[in-house]
Amino acid sequence: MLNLIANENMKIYRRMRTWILVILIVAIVLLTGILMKTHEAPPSSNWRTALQAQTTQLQQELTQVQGKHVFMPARATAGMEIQIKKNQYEISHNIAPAQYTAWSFTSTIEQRAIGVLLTVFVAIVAGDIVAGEFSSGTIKLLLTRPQTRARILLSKYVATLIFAVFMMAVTIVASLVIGGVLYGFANASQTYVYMDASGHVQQMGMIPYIFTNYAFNSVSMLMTVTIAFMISTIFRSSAIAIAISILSLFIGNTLVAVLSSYSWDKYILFANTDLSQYVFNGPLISGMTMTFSIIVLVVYFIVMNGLSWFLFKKRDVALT
Amino acid sequence: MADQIAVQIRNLTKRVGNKTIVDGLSFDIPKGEVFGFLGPNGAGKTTTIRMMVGLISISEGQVLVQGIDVEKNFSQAMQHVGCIVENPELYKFLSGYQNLKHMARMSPGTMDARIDEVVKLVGLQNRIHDKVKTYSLGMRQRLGLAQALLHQPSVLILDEPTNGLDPAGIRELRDNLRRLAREEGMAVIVSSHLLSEMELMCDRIAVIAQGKLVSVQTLSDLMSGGERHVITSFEVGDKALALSILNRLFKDHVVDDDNHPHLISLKIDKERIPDAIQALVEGGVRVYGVSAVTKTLEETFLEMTGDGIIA
Ligand SMILES: Nc1ncnc2c1ncn2[C@@H]1O[C@H](COP(=O)(O)OP(=O)(O)OP(=O)(O)O)[C@@H](O)[C@H]1O
Ligand SMILES: [Mg+2]
Repeated sequence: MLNLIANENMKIYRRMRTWILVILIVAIVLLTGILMKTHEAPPSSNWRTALQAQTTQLQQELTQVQGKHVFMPARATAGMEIQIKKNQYEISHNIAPAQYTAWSFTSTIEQRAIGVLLTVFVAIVAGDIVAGEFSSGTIKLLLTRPQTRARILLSKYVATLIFAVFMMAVTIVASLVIGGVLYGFANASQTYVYMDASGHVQQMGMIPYIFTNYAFNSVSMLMTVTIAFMISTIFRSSAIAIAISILSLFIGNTLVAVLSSYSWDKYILFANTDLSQYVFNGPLISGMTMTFSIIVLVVYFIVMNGLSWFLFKKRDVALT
Repeated sequence: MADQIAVQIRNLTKRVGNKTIVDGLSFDIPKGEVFGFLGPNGAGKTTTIRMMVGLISISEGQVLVQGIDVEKNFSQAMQHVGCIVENPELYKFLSGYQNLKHMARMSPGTMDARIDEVVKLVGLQNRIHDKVKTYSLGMRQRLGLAQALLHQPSVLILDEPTNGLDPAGIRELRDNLRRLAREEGMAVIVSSHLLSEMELMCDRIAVIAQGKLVSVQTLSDLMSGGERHVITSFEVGDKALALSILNRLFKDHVVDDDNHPHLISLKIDKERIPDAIQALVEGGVRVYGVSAVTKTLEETFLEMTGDGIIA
């Protein structure tokens, strides 16, 4: 099995395409960093006073809301609370607002620039790793050796997951290095303030926050890989596999929104792929829980991989 | 005797929908033999080979390699088999060596030293570290053969192996295959639709047409089978006289060559040719030449496989 994975790795990393994807990631991180740095407003000399003033104002508004003088939705008050906490943190740690650190830069890159792109890149490799062997005819090499088809498919699955981890590592390292050069590594204990699923304001360290985000991103990546494998074994075409898995990434959420009038919309895969909704901001569809989503994901995972495995094992490898 | 047989094919059948592509093939291939698999386009050669190496399912029947059922014990059976199905399949973005390494990793117990050995065998030493995309077709064929031989199979299956080879390459392949069969006792199965290639390469030939086995014969049987009813043509002085003599002796076997003033053809057994000459000479006919119009292997083949219309 290790030999088979080594083979798949060789075929991934000995290919120009893979390194173009890596270079693209580094380039995007670098470009984003440079743009952010050059468009950064220099902190005004009296940012402390300004922040303090804003905080006081927000606190006054909050007391009014709590005193029932003004009506305001819970989400808005939570937003105000988040702002107050952030301001207080920045004042006490001497961080001028909108000033980045390597840590906050890394998390911004994941959130705003690269998060989805990473999944797209992984989908490109995932969609090609099975279907590509069919279109080049090399599948015949793999399937006429003393290896079961199940092992061949599994080795490809594992190699794709290793590639996904590799790409995330590349992104994290590139973000930290570029962020560090541009903003310095100070304030490693910086915190991230957010509203949890039940509407309470919480905070966590910036470093755990980065890893939490990547962990949640991995879940949706895993499902995209699974979709790509399933489509590959059905159509045996890289183009179709890559297109459908990437498309699913972008229209998934739209699909959930469009079908929101139906009660079964919570069973759609894409309503469940983003598990971060249960930690940050609250669920997309009220009434859903983390446990529910995990069960839905596991069922999809088993069904889709089962189908891939079945098709790959049974189908004739005919005229190419 | 039984353990001298490398591959047994029993009633092998492939159906797709309600079409029968391969229909009840049965034959044995002993060790040390180069076995030809001959048939016109669309006869079912590739389909048979695909079943033998497990690429497609078997509708009916059995393939046994060294006594192991390919369907039931796939992995075990494939340890004995090296194959090229249709084209040598290679990763063009890898070097020749990396391609072989890839192959070696899939066949348990294949050492790196063996890679160097097969590289030498196919004569690719100088280019083995170049990317395959820079290889010529012939070099790809060679690398494909190296891949197939890498794990020292006792059964080698090659589908149209001479595709794209130049005459020197074909000759070299032929010599290689003959040597592997002779010296290493390998059973070599080669498919082709070109009889002329088979003639020089194979010990025995199975002819198939439209999915059915037409005959399995040794090459010499196939040849002499063609020669049994030879057509012999006589060049004579007085054609009318000769015709009357021959008609008396070989009633229904005279083929009158109307177009030619001096040629008469006879369709008779080889053994009777001297009788015909003697009768002509004794009857006073001047005989200028006798030539045997041997039915070529090609004609025998066409006769066996039909008119060449793809079924
Ligand atoms: N998957 C399939 N579905 C339907 N028909 C098929 C399929 N695969 C092959 N055939 C048919 O089976 C027949 C035999 O094909 P095959 O490729 O085995 O021929 P071949 O003897 O290798 O011919 P060639 O000399 O042209 O390579 C052809 O008529 C082909 O059209
Ligand atoms: Mg063929």
